[in-house]
Amino acid sequence: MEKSQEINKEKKYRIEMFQLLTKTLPPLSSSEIELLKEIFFDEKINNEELMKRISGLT
Amino acid sequence: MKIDYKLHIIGEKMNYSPRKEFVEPLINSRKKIFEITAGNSYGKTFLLNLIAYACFADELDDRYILKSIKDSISRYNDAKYCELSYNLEFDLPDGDKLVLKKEVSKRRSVELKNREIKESKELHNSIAVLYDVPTNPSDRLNAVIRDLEIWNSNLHNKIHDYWIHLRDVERDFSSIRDEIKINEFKKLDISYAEAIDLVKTEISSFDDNIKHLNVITDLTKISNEFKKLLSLQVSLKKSEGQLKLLKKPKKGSKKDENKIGDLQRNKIVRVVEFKEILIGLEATISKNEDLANFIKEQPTLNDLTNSIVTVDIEEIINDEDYVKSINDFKDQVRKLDEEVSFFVRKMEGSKKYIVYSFLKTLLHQINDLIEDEADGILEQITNNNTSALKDEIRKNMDQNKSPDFTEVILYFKDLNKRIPNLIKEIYSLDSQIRKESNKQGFDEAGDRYNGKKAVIENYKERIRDTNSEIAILKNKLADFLDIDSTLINDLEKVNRMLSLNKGRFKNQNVLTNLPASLKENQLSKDAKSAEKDKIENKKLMNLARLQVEEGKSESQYSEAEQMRIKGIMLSMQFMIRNLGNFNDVISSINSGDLDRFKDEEEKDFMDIAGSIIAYSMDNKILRADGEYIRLENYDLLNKQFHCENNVIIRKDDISTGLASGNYLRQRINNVEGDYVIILLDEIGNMDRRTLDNVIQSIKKLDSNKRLVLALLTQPNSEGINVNSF
Repeated sequence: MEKSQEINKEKKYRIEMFQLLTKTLPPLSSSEIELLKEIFFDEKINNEELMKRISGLT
Repeated sequence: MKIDYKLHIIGEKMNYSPRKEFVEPLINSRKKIFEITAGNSYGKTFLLNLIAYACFADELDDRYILKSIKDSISRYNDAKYCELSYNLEFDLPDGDKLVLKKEVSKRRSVELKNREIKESKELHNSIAVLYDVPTNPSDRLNAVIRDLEIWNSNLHNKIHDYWIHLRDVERDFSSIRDEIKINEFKKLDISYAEAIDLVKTEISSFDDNIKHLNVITDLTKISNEFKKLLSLQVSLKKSEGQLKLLKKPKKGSKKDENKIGDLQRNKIVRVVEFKEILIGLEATISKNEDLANFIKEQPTLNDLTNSIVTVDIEEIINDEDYVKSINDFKDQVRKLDEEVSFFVRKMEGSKKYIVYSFLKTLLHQINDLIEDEADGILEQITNNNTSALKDEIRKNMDQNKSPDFTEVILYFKDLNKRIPNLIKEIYSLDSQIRKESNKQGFDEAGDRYNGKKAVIENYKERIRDTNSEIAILKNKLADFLDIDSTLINDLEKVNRMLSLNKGRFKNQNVLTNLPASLKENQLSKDAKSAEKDKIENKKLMNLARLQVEEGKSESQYSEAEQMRIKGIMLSMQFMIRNLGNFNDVISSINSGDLDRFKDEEEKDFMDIAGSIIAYSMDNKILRADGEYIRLENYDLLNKQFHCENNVIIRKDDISTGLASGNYLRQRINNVEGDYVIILLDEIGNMDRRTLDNVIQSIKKLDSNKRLVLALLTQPNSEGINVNSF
């Protein structure tokens, strides 16, 4: 139930966490990393949007 | 604001309702933050419990509320414990209302902004209830850690949900038309068609061989019959000439003449059979090159063979000492048989012959398996196609080519059996002829005349039989080849056609044993036909798969998109696994069993988690002197706070009040929900400065128009006091 009011500061830790999480992934293209970042940070992305993002990957 | 309730505790037989001096300062104030200090029995804790109960805080997950508080609230659900009714009304910051009602024995009702809320989850999405009793300081840090676990779990669940969605999408890939598969099936169809064409060509080649081998067999038979006919015609002519020179004997009775004639004809049949057997000896020897050379190289044996082949049976049986002559001839035959048997045994003992003979038998047995359609076992054992195996055996047979003595052995077996019998029969018939001639008074000249006449009759009969045989063979072959039979009506024409047909075969070896070659070709053709059937079946199966695939609907995702979806799924799987591992780390923090996490990622996670914990505590710790010190990190392994200027404070050394303050501030700062109700009981362990810091955090919510109500209570033995902020 927690949500930071200080987005920028929390984002710093989330980015660190994201980098840690993605450290062991198979090689990814930059667009794939961007997509995973969006999934990681954007809580409002729905399934339809997800499929659109994947279709748009290069 | 409205606060009204009636509580009847059944066991205590007591009734409770709001006390004016306690409730009125609240409902008459426009403020939202109240600090209530009062003695026992004013109902301060009950009021907090009531608001929490009315907001279904007993249905919050354990992660969001202390279990002891949850248990305390839940007891109002027990009809045997109490009867409770209430009517609460709170003003929302934007002017709307939150109305919470309950009648005795009825369900709790919630109305938010004039809309009934039926699910507690839906309520909690809009109204966050933060109810805590800040008494146990060590719980506070644990709660921060728990929040971290919630955050990690939420992330885990979010990514897992996306992964589940992608997995469902991926499942549809199998029911979606796969162009790659379609192309593969089409390619396979073409390759099967080509393979079938190839096998058909091979079958056609075997058919062609079989046809020509049959033609050659028939032409050879016709040619032999023509040769036999010519030979018989020459012999007939010669015998007719000889007969003219013989004196015709006086006529006897017709009956007796017929009897002598019958005997003569019987004798001639056997003499001819005798001669044919001996001609066969010559042919058998000459067919086997090694045997022929063996005989030829030994003059005695060569003479012996010639003597047997050219023997005149008439001379033997008419010899004065015919018994000796017959025995001498039999001895000659036996002697030749022994010599030939010795040679054959010697040849069959050679390594080359043993290999050849083994391969020949093997080939024969494989053919038997093919005939019985049981050659599959051989393919399974040798991991080789039967046809290829046979080719390999034939190749090795060619390399170890050895003469086949089967025919020689069979011939001598037949020779030894038939020759003595024939001699006996010829001698017997000759004796009977003599006896009958004497009875009729025929002299020797008469016997010769009658004998020659019988020979002529025999020739004529055999010429008739031969002509008849030729006619049958000619017509059969002409029909088969769809040609005019006049094209094969003499030896020269037959031999020309024979030579033409033989010339079709590059490997002339196949012509040395026509029946064996015919059988071999037939078996090979059968094997190829079976192979063709198999390929045709495979082709049909493939075609069926192609039709199924083509019948599927086209994918909404291209092949490249499918690959991307699978790639993202794989990445998500890694992230889900990592987040799962991090949850293990978090759940092990309190047990102190963190040493077991050796992976670099897990250690990195502990660092980040420590940073997040410090951040959640606003990167500040209140020290005993009332001053804040900057908090850099919390060391999970050693349970200590790392602060500015290398100050390290052990977790257990943080004062309880400060810990409570730190904890409450971070919870208030991070609470979710559009609106917030804060209920804090027993705040007495915090000093004024710490409490003011907590109230400052609550005020921040108020200024953000999210605060509905904040009630902070602590006991006081000197009456009641309500402070509003």
